[in-house]
Amino acid sequence: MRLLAAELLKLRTTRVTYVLIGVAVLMSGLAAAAIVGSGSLGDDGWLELAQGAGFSTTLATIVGILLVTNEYRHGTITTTFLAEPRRVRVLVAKLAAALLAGVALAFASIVTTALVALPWAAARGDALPLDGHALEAVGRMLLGFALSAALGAAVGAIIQNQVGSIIVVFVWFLIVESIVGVLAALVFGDLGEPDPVSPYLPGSALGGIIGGEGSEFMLRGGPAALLALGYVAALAVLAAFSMTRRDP
Amino acid sequence: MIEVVDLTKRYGKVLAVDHLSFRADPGRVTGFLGPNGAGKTTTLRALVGLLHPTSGSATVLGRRYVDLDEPGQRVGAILEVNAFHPGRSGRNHLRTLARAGGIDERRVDEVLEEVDLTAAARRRVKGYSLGMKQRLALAGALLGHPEILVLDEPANGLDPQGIRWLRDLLRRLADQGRTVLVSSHVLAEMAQLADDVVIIAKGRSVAQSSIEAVLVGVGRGTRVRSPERDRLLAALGREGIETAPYEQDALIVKAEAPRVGELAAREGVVLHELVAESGTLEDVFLELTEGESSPS
Repeated sequence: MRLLAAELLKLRTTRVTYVLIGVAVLMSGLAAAAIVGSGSLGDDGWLELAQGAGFSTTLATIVGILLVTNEYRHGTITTTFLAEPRRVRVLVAKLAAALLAGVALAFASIVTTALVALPWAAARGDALPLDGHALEAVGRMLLGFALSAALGAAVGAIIQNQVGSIIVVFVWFLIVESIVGVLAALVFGDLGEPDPVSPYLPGSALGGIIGGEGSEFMLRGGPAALLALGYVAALAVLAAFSMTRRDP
Repeated sequence: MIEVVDLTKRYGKVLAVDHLSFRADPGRVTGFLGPNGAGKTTTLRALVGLLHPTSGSATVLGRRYVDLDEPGQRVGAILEVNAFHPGRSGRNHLRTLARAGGIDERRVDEVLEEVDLTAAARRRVKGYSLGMKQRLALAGALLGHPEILVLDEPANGLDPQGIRWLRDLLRRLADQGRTVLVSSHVLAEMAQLADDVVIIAKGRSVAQSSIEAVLVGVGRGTRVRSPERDRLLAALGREGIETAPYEQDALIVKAEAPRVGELAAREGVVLHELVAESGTLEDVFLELTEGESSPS
């Protein structure tokens, strides 16, 4: 517990945390304005707004990566391991801190989105009721951001190099999964048709927690969250090996 | 107490530490001396569980570091010259250490005062000088009132006043019964800081004893000045102690200073000066490490 407190203090005492929260606020504010401003909201206005704010999950992944790799980069991992030589405990504390940091980012995005969308929609006479859909959107946001941050922390702990971790994660999300999708389509059927591989890749699982509506290439909501959780757990196991075997 | 027994660490074909054994006792400042690349840092990191030895053991208070209860409160260590997030203030750095180690946060301001960093405590570490960073690292090591201190090159970056301050601090800590192990590749520092020395080269121990004994063991010794030089010479000769003339009223004696002083007292010989000869420390070092020192 005190290790988690230490990790949270580390987050609170560096500027980049606040910068990333600020960027999340800005991005979700702009997204909400774009969505509300583009015309009337559909039946599920909250989910559309959540998907707009969902782009900020990349920021959560970055927070998770920094939470681990900053320590390797600046050598503070040695003092961290001196305070707690059982490294798996350090990893667990970092994963927990990443989940909470993800929740904080989600919270900032949700509040911003609501502050932009609610008065605007109300002024225009669009219905944006605080109903079950709103609750679902909030839940998906919290899960999506928290798991994105935890995935970042696990990858950071496996790779340990900061720039390397960031490059690997984003090359994977943006390039590798697309290529795999295309190859899978070629092998299993036609381009543009759903294939049995691409919905189950980590990037689309994470993306599907918040988004995924209307796409046949992605799982949605709960199943996506469960799959993403599985990926995070598997990566965390690899991270435990990497952290304990590789001496800093 | 710190105990290293038959410690070996191999990186591929490189043998960084080769069957090294030594101990550091409470109440003493033990210097760990050797040229760069001799295996000092590897040994110290193995001691605090930061790396896995290939064979042998390194224990603190009779246990492996990972098996200690509350290691953060029993062992204080510096192992990296600059292990700080540059954007975090010195005070916040120490607060994260205190929180992780289960140490009362009031200690943070106390240790900042102890290392004279109170004025800079709320500034970002980015703007600290090397000496300030060393003192901040030392503050971190002192946080938990540790019984054991393991300090890798703590004098690096300190000016002469800083080194004197460090010497006094380490002396005080040792006098309180703590075990202090401090490494350096600079002999002059070690002569000022340590009671005992462990000298290593190429991962192996080449000498272990008090600083004076190390000097004597390789032919240097105690410089003694007396107006009754001939009587002293005769007394030393009767004890079978080798001597060599040094200036008109001085001798270099191949024995430790306390022994020479006690002998002179017993014989009633007046002494004007009794100095453990350290002017030739560099030569001793080079001799012991077979000239594989590196530029300091």
